[in-house]
Amino acid sequence: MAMTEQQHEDTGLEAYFETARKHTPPPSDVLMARVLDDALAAQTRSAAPAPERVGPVHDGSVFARVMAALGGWPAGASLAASALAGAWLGAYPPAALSILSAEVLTGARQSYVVDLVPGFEIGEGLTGEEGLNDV
Amino acid sequence: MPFDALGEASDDALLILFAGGDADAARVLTQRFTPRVFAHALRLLGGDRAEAEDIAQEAMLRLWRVAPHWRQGEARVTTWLYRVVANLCTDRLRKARAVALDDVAEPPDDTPGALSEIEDRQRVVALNAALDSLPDRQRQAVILRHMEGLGNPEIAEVMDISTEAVESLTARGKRALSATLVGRREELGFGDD
Repeated sequence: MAMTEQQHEDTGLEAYFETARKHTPPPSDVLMARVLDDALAAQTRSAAPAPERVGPVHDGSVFARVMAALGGWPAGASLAASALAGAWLGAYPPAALSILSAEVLTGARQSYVVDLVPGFEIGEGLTGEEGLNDV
Repeated sequence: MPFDALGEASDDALLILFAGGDADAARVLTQRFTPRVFAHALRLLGGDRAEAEDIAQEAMLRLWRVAPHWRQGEARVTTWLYRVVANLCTDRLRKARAVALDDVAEPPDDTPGALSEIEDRQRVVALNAALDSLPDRQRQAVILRHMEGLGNPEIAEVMDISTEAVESLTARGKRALSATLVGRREELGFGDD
């Protein structure tokens, strides 16, 4: 099958691209050193210090190192416990929580009234249940 | 070997380690991305090595700064870096638009001699000059596609345009390059191949 003009052009250009890719210049050692210096300086300046490491952390897998960077197994355990507690509360909510949430969600109770001065009656001006202490 | 083991780690995992203060992760990220960032800057700048080094350093510095806030799985690190490099290069080019064609960098190998080596240099210089004559967006799209080897969807993400727009830019760019370069094949030693 004869090549179309477009295919011929693509082939011709590809030869240039291939040559250029072959001659991709590497970064100098000086640049690599500068970039690494910046990286290490950024880590030093970072507000969150590296978590305390016990033992030869470099023997661990990438997963273990990522866990350590996130705060280690204690942080992971806390996260898991919180997730479990959330799931449990969602599945089996305590009775008190059910009553409260039902009142709030249905609008039965829209506000809380706090009596700041018990025993003090307002004789005039404000009457009824509106005003003053609604929060 | 822990350092070698990190070489296989994903970009996202390395950024987490980096943010946690892992010096090995810093080294692996430096080695993984600096060459690509530098090469891309060099191409976009038409061969200005000193400027490309400055831009590569600046782009990597931005990566170090963003690492603690990196949103996992949202964008590829390479895509983000190519976009940063493009923005930095655009700023530089606006400030000092013209890089004289005589100054277009040649391949760094300083050991001429073989005819093929000289021809390769001439081809790279010719390609750089032709690329430099393209409009900025066409040049960027062609370089990302044919020099960096990115697919159209990723180029679209880098350039913040549709894939159809990418196809259009690369097609027009290649047409213009062909008009300039294909006629010089004999002169540049490609012969009849």
